[in-house]
Formats: sequence, structure tokens, C-alpha cells
Amino acid sequence: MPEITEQAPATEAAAAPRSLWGDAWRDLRRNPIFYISAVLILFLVLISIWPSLLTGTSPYACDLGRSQQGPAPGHPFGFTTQGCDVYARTVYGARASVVVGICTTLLAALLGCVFGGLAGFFGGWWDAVLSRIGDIFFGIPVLLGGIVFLSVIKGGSIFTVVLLMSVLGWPQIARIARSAVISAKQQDYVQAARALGASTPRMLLRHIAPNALAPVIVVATIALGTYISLEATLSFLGVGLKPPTVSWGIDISSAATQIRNAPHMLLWPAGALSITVLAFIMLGDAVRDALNGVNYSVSAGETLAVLGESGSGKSVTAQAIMGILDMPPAKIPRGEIRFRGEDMLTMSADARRRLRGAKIAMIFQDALSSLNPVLTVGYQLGEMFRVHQGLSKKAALAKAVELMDRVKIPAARSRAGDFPHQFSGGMRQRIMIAMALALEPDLIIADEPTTALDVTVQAQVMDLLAELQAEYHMGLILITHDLGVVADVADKIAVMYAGRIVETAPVHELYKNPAHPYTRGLLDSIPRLDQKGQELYAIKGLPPNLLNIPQGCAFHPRCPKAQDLCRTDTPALHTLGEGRRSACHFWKETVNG
Amino acid sequence: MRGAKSATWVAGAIVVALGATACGGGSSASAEPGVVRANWGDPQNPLEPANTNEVLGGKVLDMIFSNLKSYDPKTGEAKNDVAQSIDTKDQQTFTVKVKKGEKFSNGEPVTARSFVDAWNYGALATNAQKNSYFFADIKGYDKVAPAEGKPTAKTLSGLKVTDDHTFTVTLNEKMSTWPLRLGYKAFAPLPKSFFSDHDGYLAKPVGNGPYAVDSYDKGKQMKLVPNTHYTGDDKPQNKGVLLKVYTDSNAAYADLQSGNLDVDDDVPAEQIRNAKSDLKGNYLSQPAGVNQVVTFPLYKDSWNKPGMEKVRKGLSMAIDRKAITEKVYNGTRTPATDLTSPVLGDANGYSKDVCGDTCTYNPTEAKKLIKEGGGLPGGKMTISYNADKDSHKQWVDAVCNSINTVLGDDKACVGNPVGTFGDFRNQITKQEMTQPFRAGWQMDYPQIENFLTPLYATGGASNDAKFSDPKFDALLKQAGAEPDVKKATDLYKQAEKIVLDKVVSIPLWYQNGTAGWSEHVSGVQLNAFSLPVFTQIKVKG
Amino acid sequence: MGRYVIRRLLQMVPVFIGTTFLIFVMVYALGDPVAAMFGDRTPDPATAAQIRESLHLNDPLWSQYLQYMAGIFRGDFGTAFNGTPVAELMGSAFPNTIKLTLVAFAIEVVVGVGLGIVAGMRRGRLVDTGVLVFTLLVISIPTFVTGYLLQYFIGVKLAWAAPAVSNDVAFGELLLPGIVLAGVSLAYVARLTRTSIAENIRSDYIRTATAKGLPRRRVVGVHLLRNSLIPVITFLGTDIGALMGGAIVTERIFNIQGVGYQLYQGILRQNAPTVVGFVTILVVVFLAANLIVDLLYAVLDPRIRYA
Repeated sequence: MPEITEQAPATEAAAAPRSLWGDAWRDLRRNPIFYISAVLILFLVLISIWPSLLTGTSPYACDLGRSQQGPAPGHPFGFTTQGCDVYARTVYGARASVVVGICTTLLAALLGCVFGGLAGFFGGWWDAVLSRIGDIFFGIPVLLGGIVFLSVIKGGSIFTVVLLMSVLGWPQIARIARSAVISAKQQDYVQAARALGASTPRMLLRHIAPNALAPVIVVATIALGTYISLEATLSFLGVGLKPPTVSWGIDISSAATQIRNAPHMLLWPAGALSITVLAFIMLGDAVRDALNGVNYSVSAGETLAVLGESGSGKSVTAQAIMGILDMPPAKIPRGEIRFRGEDMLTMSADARRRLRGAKIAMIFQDALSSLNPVLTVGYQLGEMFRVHQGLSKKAALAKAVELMDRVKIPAARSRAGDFPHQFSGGMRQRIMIAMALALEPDLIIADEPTTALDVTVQAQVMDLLAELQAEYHMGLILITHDLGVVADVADKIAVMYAGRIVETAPVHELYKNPAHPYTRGLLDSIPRLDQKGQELYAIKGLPPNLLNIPQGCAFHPRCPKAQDLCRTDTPALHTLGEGRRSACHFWKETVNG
Repeated sequence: MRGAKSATWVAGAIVVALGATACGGGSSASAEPGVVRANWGDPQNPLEPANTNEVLGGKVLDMIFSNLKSYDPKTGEAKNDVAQSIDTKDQQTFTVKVKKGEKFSNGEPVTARSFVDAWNYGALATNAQKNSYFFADIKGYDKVAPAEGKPTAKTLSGLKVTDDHTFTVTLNEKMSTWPLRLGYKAFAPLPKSFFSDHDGYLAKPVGNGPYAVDSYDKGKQMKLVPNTHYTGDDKPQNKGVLLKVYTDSNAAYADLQSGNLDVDDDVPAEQIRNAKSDLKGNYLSQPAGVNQVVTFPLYKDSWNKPGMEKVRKGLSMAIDRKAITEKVYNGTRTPATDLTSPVLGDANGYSKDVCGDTCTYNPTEAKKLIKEGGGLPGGKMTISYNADKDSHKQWVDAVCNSINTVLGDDKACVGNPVGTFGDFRNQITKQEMTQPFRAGWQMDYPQIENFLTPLYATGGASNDAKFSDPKFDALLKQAGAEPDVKKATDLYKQAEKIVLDKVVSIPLWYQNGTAGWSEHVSGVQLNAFSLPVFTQIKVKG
Repeated sequence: MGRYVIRRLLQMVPVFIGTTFLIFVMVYALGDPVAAMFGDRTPDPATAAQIRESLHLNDPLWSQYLQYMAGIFRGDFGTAFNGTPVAELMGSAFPNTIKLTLVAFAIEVVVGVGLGIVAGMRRGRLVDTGVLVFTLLVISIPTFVTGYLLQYFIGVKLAWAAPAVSNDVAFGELLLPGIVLAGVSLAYVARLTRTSIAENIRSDYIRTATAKGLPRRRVVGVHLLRNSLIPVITFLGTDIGALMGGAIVTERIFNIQGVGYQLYQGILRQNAPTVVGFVTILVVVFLAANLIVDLLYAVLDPRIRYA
């Protein structure tokens, strides 16, 4: 049994999974990157509209006498081959470049998302027709398309250039969107929404789009930069923007050939282009992260029979024991984790790694997301034997099947080749348990192993776990918020609050006589069959934000018995007796009262 | 065979990869001793003399064919080459005597028939030879290539073989300077195999010049060796020439610097400034028979109504040619002072001053003239150019900036790029141009007549402006009939003055030919057509 | 699966016809190609008429198209204006371009995915920023600038590699053009990989894999990479075609007589047989690449099923 003397401060508060665009927006507003990029883009838009704000020099006032000269007073960036002011041209070039870049990206992304989305979502004929049309368009060389399109419609305006590039650019985005939609369509929550009868537009907008957008945004933000460059190529070939329009692209292409003679001509427009692309990449990243925060976050929870409300740091502690916290951003500044007398924190990373799985194993809450979706369960189970015991692939698979039999999965041999999504929830959790049991570890940490399951299956799984534990003589840390489950299975209980253990006790003593006001509150909040008619107690207030733990005793804002000492001094973990500890200044009063 | 080839390039890849890390690329592709490696591009047409109208094919034909006349690389003077003599009594019928003992590289003798058959082939419309118009002055052309309908004759009635080495040419009109053009490749003789085994000829052309084709790997390279049957004066000073096809002038220039190429006659414009130091002085730049002008669409009333000649002249005077040639072209263009080219020399019609103040930059006078003439039509003008090659954008922008500065209006003149050369030419020939456009002339032979008749004579093949002036036409006719070449040239000059006075087009500058060469070779010079004189190049070591 | 593949193969037929017709119309729309053959000179009318007749330019569009398609079924792709059969041009251009594409593709995959993994796993750290700056540079500097710069400094000044590719088109010579060609795509691949890795590294199954005590190499190599590369592979598939057809600039700079170069020539000279022939083959390549990607996709992600 590991003994935790000092807990790792928790790192991140978990957000409840809500899937609304509004949440994404709220998330976005909290992201500094979003503000930086928004300010940059706003600035670009501003100078596109009023370039004269930044320069009084005309981009057309050119004097061959100053051809390719370097910086001069009033002309900080030097001159072009034609003797025009590079600074003025860079400022004035923003309009065409930014407009072409943004409009083309938006239009191409819109076309791409609509066509790609439809093809991916409906499949079949939709896919066949839309994708093949995309293939044909993809096949048209940009040069040919540009020359034909613009010489036939006698273009040369920003509008025609945008139109042309969108028409040529959408298939790429459509391809990406189609794949992303196909992939998102397979996610269980989308399947669930579909089963619940969500309408098609609703599914597309609320469930698929947020997930499919990530790769589209990445590609679109880079495409924005390449569209600005493409405009340059088209203009250079005489089929893009017509003079006297100024654009970065045009200036970059004419500077490019002079790179050995006058590099400053290239530096500034290319620099401006870089900053623009950077701004949009940053914006794209921020938007994508915001969408992710909403959909991928799993409510954190949980830790011995470790008890506590959601967000009390149970899971984080368990993961700290396993050594599987994401090391950036998590930090364990002090403390030790003892496993069989050795401090795990001072062990080498490799030694720790060898302990994981072999000596300490973990069962996670959500078996579907915790199993790799693209590998067969047989492979994932067998991996334990291959890595830790060096077995061959074949021998490992045989062991895996044996394990699956052990956890009572019917037809184990044939199902070993199936993928996680092909199993039912209960069966998946059995696989998780099998995986933890594989190497007969000394300790299993089960993190809310049954929360995701329905009640009848819950009991089956808990029984199995208890049975196996007894059979193999393993230690079990059961992380849960369900006191009912704890009472049945656990011997000892540790109660956590705000990332710290506030009380440990043998199970019966704790139930009988809690030594911490928080434990008391938890116990009082369980509906009890023997006390009918009483009002159900709830601990007032909310669990603290782990990034902002109250001074003194962390529980004091919610404690009915809080006194001044509680607000200033952090209580130590007092030993009350054999196996009993409490982190309350007034434990004596609590035990007695 | 196939397997052996791929094994070679796998081995080659390893060798190059090793070489790249160990000692550098260097001269890994070193040539056979004594062979000159030169820059080349894929010719646009099959290598038939009467079908080659661009420099890439021209470069090869120049090496493998000797014509009746040849032009002195230095003076441009036309001298007899394969011709023993070319005589005329009436400036209309010429008697050509071919030197005896001349042979094609396959050993076949060069006779009068070799010429007459070749010219008849070139002129006959059904052969679709792009240089056919060169034979248009010969009697009977309207029968072999009628403007409409099928040809009614297979041969030109103006060509007659009188004996093995003599033939006569009868023209439609008197033209004393006609023999001067016989150095042009369209007039080359052809061997019998050209007609009997055409595909064989195209795979490996046969000529009577100083070099013979040794091997031709289409799209990649052509190996030329000295023609063992060649008896002329221009014997090669080297053991052969390897023409390497490059996709881009910069690639060739990079190879030249790395020692993988010996002669590069297409130094990219943006490298000119560094060429002297990059090549340690092995670089030359000299005027070529190419000029650049801006032509007005005189078929449009807006540019041709009374008073517009003042505007046209004013525009010409608003262009700072000196600054543009120096800054944009690093001195590889020379401001124009007439409608011809300095390579002609005074003897053939070049003039240093005939354009006078029209070609002289004078902002105040320019502005005044444009104002007096009623200003630009609609207050704006564009200069059209094809954007697909030759980077015309640079100079068009500079010319417009120059005009705009003079007029004090940022947007009075702007460039108007056209996507393809084909589209550009179609707009010109269909007279769809409403605004001035670029035009360039690459001479066929070094004579002032070549710079005037096609371009400005009524109905001339390249009279893009649709200029027509009876006095001008009469002077051309008079010059053609003048037996004395010097007097004829003077008459042409008078005609040139008429075109310049009316400012049909704005003469801009003469283009230079450039060449850079490696340290392996010496004696590199360019001829009047800006092609390297390969026979004179010596290979060191 | 088998039926799916057959259906996809059958779809190529209408696409083939559609593409050839579309490209044919586009080249046709460019106008009369004859004028461009005569330089700055108005063509002799008799000669021009003769050339138009031999190219069937006087026939209506549909008739020209049918004649062209009939030629293709006889194995005749027509001839370029310099008299070379288009089939011969393809025979010499495609091997060169395929070699170049292979080199560029290898660079793109190895460097792009490599950078993406490093950046994604060290998200927000210096390496990540470094990769971002690198991608920005690649995107903002046009290919011809990188091309000329590499050619000049690596090829000419340092002489570490041949500045121009020789007629042998050896793989070693293709390293420099391969880098240039791979450039922009590499930026896409690196960004896509980074995003995907950063997303998946936080996923539960990676936590499980770590908890299983798997070595980091295995966690990344087996569990993380396979899931993360799915969107990247989609991009790579579409990119093969783009690399083959889009090498116009690179091929010109480094003297490679490949597909891009021939297409460029064909377009500028308005030579329908060249352009249609090359583009059609390219579209077939796209179709094949996309089909392979779709199949690969189902292999990589067992949740995806094609009916």
C-alpha cells in the first residue's frame, strides 16, 4: 500500500462537458492567444481600410533614381526596383492581400465544408458525386485555370481573383472536411445523438461540426498564407490582380528575382505576410482549443477507498501515484509516494515505468475512451505481456484470451480480434479490469470503475472486482464518490478535500464516528433507508477551485464549525489512534460531537 | 537495356550523394575533352530550316547549315559563303552560282537543286512552314501559297535551275537588297534525305555547315561534332559542342558557375549586375538585332485623330530611357535613337540621331505637347504586354511611372498584362487593342529594310499599328529598285524618318545579347543574332 | 470492401471523361493557338490556314473532342507543336516527376510528421514555437525564392549539391529540389500532425497506455501515432497529386523536364493534346491516391466502415 504523506497540488479544474457553441465562445474569451490574434487581425483590417493612417507616402510615387536603395529618412524600409517606397507599398499592399486571403479562405472553406461535410455525412451517392467533382477540380492546374478563367471573363479585380482561387481551392478543404466528418460520425456521442433522434442539421451543427472543424481550421489557416502567395503567382503570370493594384504578393514576386541585389525589397512584404499568417494560425488554434475544451474534457474526479466530491483531487492523486500526470503542466513540488518502502518520486523514470502495470495497475472510469479505438482488445491486453514479460505476439494473444475468459467475457477467443467499440459497456469495463489484472499486480487503483455503467451491471462488475481481489491478494484503492459502494468493498477509507487527505479511518469507524466535519457532511448527505422523512442534508457552498484554495483550513468557508484559527492556520494530519487520522483543528470536538 | 539504365541511375545517385557530401558537386558532369557544353532550350518547332522562327532551333540550324551568304560576326556585313556569286542586271532576276565541291554531312554534294528544292518546299502552303513568307517576294508565291483556297502550283515559277551549280531567282518586284537576306536560315539548302526520309531527318538533321549532328536526345541534349565533309572557311576550333536543354536561364547560370556548363548566352537579367564578378570577367554584353517599342493602335480613332501625333510624341519624350536601361536593365539595353539596331552599322542603315528630340527625355516639353494635343484619350492609358515570358512587367511599370511623373498623375498610365502570348497576339491581329501595346522586332537579316517593310509598309505582315502612308510606301519601292545598295539604304532612311515623325510607335531601346563562359573555354563572341560563334571557341586542356 | 473498391474504380470512367472534356474546353477557350507560333509576326494566311486544318481547329469543339478521344483509344495522345508525340513526352516526363515526387514526399513525411510530433508533444514549449516560426517562414517565402536561394547557396556557393539536375535525374540531385517542393506541404503536415498529437496525447487511452507501464517509445509509436496520423494521411493523399502537378516552379528552377514543366509549356503554347493528356493522367493519379487513402483510412480506424 502506498502511503501518501503530502499530496500533489492539483493542476486543473475540470469543466463539465457541455456542447454548446456558447461555451466555446466563453472559452475563447478566456484565451490570451485569442486576444493577441484578434488585435493583430483588427489592425490588419484597419490598415486595409485606411492605409493612409500609417503612411503619408503614396505607393505610386516612384523615382527610378532611388532604385533599390536602402533605408533613407522618411523611407524606413528603402526602395523597390522602380524606386517606390517599400514601406508605403507594404502598408497599401495589405488591402488586396488581406482581402484576397480572408475572402478566399472563407469562401473555399465554406464550399469545402459544405460539400465535404455532405459527402462525408451522407456517404453513398452524395460522396461519390461530390468527391469526384472535387477530384476533377483538383486536377485542373492552377495556372491553366487562372489563365482560362481570367482571360475568358476578363478579370483582374479582387473579386474575380477570390472567386477563381476559391473554385480551385475548395476541393482540398472538402477532402479534409469529408474525412473529419466521417471520423466524427463514428464517435459514440454522435451515434447517441442520432439514436436519440436528433435532426440532421442539428447533428451536423452541434455534434459533428465542432469536432470536424479542427483539421479544417489547421488547413485553412495555412491555406490563407498560400492563397496570398498564390495571388502573387497569378499576378506575376499576368492573370491575377491588374495594375495599379498594390499587393504583397506582387511585390514579393518582383523582389524575389532581385534577392541577391536588394534583399530588403523581399523582407518587408514577406514579413507582413508572415505576421498575417501567424495571426490567423493563432486565431485558428484558439478557436480549435475552445471547441476542444467543450467536447473532449472528461469530468475529472476522484481517489484508497478515496472519497470526496467531484474536483476534490482524488483522481489527480491516483494518477500521481501512477506517475501518469502530464508532467508539464503538472508539478509535484514536494512530498513522497512510498511503494513497498521505496519513494516512487525519487525512482528513475524507467524503474517507475516498470512498476506501472506490473506492480500497480489502474482501472479507469470510462472504458470506451480509455481503450485505444484503433487497436484490437486482444492486442491491447497482450501488450502487457509483450512489454513486461517479453512474450511473443502469439503467446501474448493466448494470454489475453485467457484473461478475457477470466473476467467472464463470452467467446473470448473470437472476440479478442474485436475493437473496443464493438463491445458493450459492461464488457469493456471487464476488459479494463482484465488489463489491470494481467500481471497480477500488488495494487490496483480503480478510478470510479462503475460510474459509467448502469446499476445492474455495476453490481456485477464490483462483485467481479472483489472476487478477483480476494483471489489474487491484491491491494485495491477504490476511488469513488459513492459511499454505498465503499461500505461494501473497502476496508479503509481516505477522505479527500481540495487535494488533501482530510481523514483516514477503517471503514466501520468512519461511518460510525467521523473525525472531520467534511466527512460528517458527506455522510449526512447520503439518503438513508432507516431515517425516513428527514430532510436530506447538503454541504453548503461549492468545492473550491483548486487553483485558488482558501487559506488556512481549505474547508473553512463551508464548515459549520469554522473558527478564527481555521481561517489562518492549515491543520496538520493528526493521528487519532490505530489507522485513524484527521486534518481538523477540532477533531476531538468533532469525534465527540 | 531498361534494367541497365536504371542500375546506372541508382549507382549515379549514390555517386552523386557521396560526391555531394565529400567534395562538392564541382564538375561531376565533366565533358569529353575538347567539347564545348552550351546552354540550349527545347526548340518550339521541328528542326526544319523553313519552319524555325525562334532562337533555340535557330542556334542549331546556324551550326549545321551554311547559307549562300553569311554575316560577319563583328560588322554584320553579308559575305558570300556557299555562293560563288550572286549577280543581277535588273534588280529583279538574280543568277546564283553555288560553290563546287561543297557537301552535306552525309557526303551528298550541295547543288543548285539542293537550294531550289528546299525553297519550293518552304514556300508550298501544304507543308505549313512558318517561315514561308520569306519566299513571298519570289515570283509564283501566290500560286503555291494563295491567301485563300488550295495551291494551284507545287513549285515557285521564279526559281529555275540552269545547271548543277547555277540557278536563277525572279522576284515579283525590283529589290536590290534582296541577296542580303540569303544568310537567313530559311534559305538553307536541304539534302535529298530530307524529302525521302523525313522522319529520319527530324530525328537527326543533316546539313552542310561546320558541325554535324552526332546524337539528338529530344528534350535533353544534342551532341554536335565537326562535319568531316565541311570545306568552308569556318572550320571548328574545338572537337564538338554539347547543347544541353535547360528549363530556366537561372538553372543554366547556376550550372555555369559550378563548372557544369561552358557557354551561356542567356544570362538572366537579374544576375547581370553580379555576372562580371561571379564569372571572374568571363562575360560580355553587346547590342543585338532586337529592339523594343510601344506601338499605337492607329486603327483606333482615339489615338489617331488630329492632334494625337503631338500626344504620341509627348509620350515618347516623357520616357526616361537612360534611367530605365540603367536601373531596370543594368545597362543591358541601350536607349534607342532610331527604328533599327546598332548591329547594322552605318552601312546597313543604323543611325545615331534620326529620332532626334522625339527620343530625348524632356519632361517639360513632353507635358506641354501632351496638353496641346488634347491629353490622353479619356485621361488614361494602358500599355498591354504578355506576362508569360521575358518579364515585360518591369519595364512597362517603369515606362508608366516615368509618364505618370511627367503628367503628375499617379494612375494616368498603368500596365495591362495579358496572360498568354497567344492571346496577346490574337488581340493585336484582330485589331482588338484599344490602347498602346508592346512590340519587339528581332531582325531576320542585318539590313534596315527588314526593320521597315514588314512593320510599317501598307499591308506589311507585322504592321500591327495598321500604319499606312503613300509617301512611305513609295520610298520603299524606290529604294528596292535602286541598284546601288548605299543609295538604297539612304532612301530607306528617308522612309524611316516619316515613321518617326508620325510617332507610329515609340522607340525604346536596343536589346543586348549577353554571354558568360567558364574557365575551360576561350574565344567566345556573339554574332549579329546574339548567338555564340561556336566554331571560334577553343577548349583549354 | 471489394464492392466498394470496384465501385470506386468504375467511378473513374465518368471522371476521366469529365476531366478530359473540361480541360479540352478550357484550352479551347484560350483561343486560337496559331498566332502564338509566329512570334511578333502576323502569320502568313495560307500557312496559318494549313496549320489550323491539320490541327482540326476549324471543326466544332465536340468534333475536335471526339477525334481526340478516338485517338486516345487507339493509344494516340496527339502531338506537341514541335512534332513530338505527347505519349513520348509523357514517357520522359512522368518518370522524372515521379522520382522528384518520391523524394519530396519522403521529406514531407519524415520531416513534417517528425516536426509535428515534437511540437505536439512539447506543446507551448520552445520547440513548438520553433516549429511554428519555421512553418511561417516556409509559407511566407514563395517557392521560387527558396528555390533560387538554395540553388545559389547550397549549389553554387557551397557546392554541396549540383545546382541543376542533369539529364540522368539521379536521386542525389533531387534532394535540393525535393526540399523546395516539399516545403509548403511540409508546413501543412507539421501543423496537422501537431494539432492531432496535441489532441490525442491528452486522451484517455494514452493515459491507459502509460498506466500499463508501456515504454514511452511504444506509447507514442503504437498508441499515439496511429490515431494522430489519420487526418494527416488524408492530406498526404491529396498532396501526392498536387506535388506531381504543382512542381512547375521547382522543375523550372532545378532543370527537371517533368510533368509540371511540360504542362507549363503546353498551357503557354495552348497545345490541347499536351495539356489534356497530362492533366488526365494527373487526375487518374489523384483518384488512385484518394482511393488508397480512403482504404487506408478504414484500415487505420476500424470504426469506419464503407458500405
